[in-house]
Amino acid sequence: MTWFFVALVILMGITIAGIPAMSRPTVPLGIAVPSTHVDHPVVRTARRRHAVITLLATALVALATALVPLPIVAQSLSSLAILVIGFVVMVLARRPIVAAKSAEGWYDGVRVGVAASPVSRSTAGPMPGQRSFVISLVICGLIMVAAAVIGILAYPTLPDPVPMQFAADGTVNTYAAKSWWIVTVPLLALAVTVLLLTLLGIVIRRTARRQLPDGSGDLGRREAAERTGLQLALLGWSALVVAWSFAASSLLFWFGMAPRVVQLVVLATLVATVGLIAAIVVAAVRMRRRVADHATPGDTETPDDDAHWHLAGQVYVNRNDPAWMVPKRVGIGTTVNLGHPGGIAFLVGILAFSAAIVIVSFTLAL
Amino acid sequence: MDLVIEPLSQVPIYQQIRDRVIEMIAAGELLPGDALASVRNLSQALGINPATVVKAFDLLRSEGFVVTNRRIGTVIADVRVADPLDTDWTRRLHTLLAEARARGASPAQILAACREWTGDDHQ
Repeated sequence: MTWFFVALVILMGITIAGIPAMSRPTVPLGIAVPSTHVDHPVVRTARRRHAVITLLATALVALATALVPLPIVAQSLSSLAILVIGFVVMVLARRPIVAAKSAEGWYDGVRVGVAASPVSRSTAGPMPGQRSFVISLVICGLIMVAAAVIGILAYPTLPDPVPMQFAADGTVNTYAAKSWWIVTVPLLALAVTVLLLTLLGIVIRRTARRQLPDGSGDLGRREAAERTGLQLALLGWSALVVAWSFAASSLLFWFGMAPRVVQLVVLATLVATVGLIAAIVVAAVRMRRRVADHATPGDTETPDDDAHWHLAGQVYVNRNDPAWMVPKRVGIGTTVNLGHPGGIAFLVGILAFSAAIVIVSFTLAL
Repeated sequence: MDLVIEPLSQVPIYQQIRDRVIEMIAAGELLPGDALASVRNLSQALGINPATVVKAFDLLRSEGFVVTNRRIGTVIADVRVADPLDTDWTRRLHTLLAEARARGASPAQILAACREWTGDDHQ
């Protein structure tokens, strides 16, 4: 399993180092700057410093994980370590930008604005990414139905007790008494997860798109459309990986596969997850480049709302903003507005659902 | 064309929304029957208080530029009238022109600005 944690550290480190390439150019390291200053020497130096230090730290953590003999639990903390290091590096690297922006008055005399389409979206056609999202959900549905049918048909032949957890070498190390819960709970968890991802996709589809001009005449509109489309497509891909993971693990438990098969299935799941993360990074970087390449000149900048973004641009809190979901400042996607009751409720709901999954899993294994 | 508001402008935001919608009607980008975004969607997209959007829509409605349809919501009205340059509009134009003259604009400058705005598409 050591190789897995090393690969995870490297993947996370590269992703963290590549965050600026996935973000809008006007928010380098989570700080709002006018489009005229995206290539300012202070900004370029800060971005370079962030990338170099993050990659160096990634290499060190990966080497330490590979060479230092530690229990698996300790090795698993290496991914948490790279997250913390990445956060600290970003906080320190962005300080010169904050200082220069304040000292030189980068937003003095700058025309700032926010744009939106004034017409109702109900008359709009299909959105980019929507077809990919629907196709992914259909495939997820087929996977769920197939797994449910197999589980129901196979139940009479399931052993008692039923395998519940596998060790790293593919052998069973936890069992549970045979019951219909063994079949239904994993499938229910899969169905609820896919349902939540579907609802999230519908919410993203229907939520008003905030357009951020960033000094261009049409960049805000194009970026908002591409961003939403990419989110829908990625949600669909995520649902597919989740469906595969649940269905494959359920089959392993029900049919007591040989350890080698278990290891192969687990490997396939890990590869799919890593592939998903890599696909997200590549798609986000390509989207940013595509949007920037087609931008037309304009004179309106996105407002400087640094005051509402906390923890190095990761958390948005604005009680005066009626939107409970807003575009992320760092990276790609959407984040909740923790100043809005809806945003807080959504976050609490996600945490409660995750906790419920963990609790039910432990209860079944007892 | 999108509706752009400037949060730091001296002009109230509801006034900006009203002005932008009228400009879009004049430019042919909004046509009679086009449904405007809901108050909730527009306020969320612009990051402003829904009451501000309501105020803008109420102002547009009182001036006859939009009407409320129970099924669709707020839609652009057909505001063309037999006498578009009525007394009220002419009075407001006089005030606007007086404002420009008070700031030092010459009649030639004002006429040039009018020609630039109207152009061939607006004749």
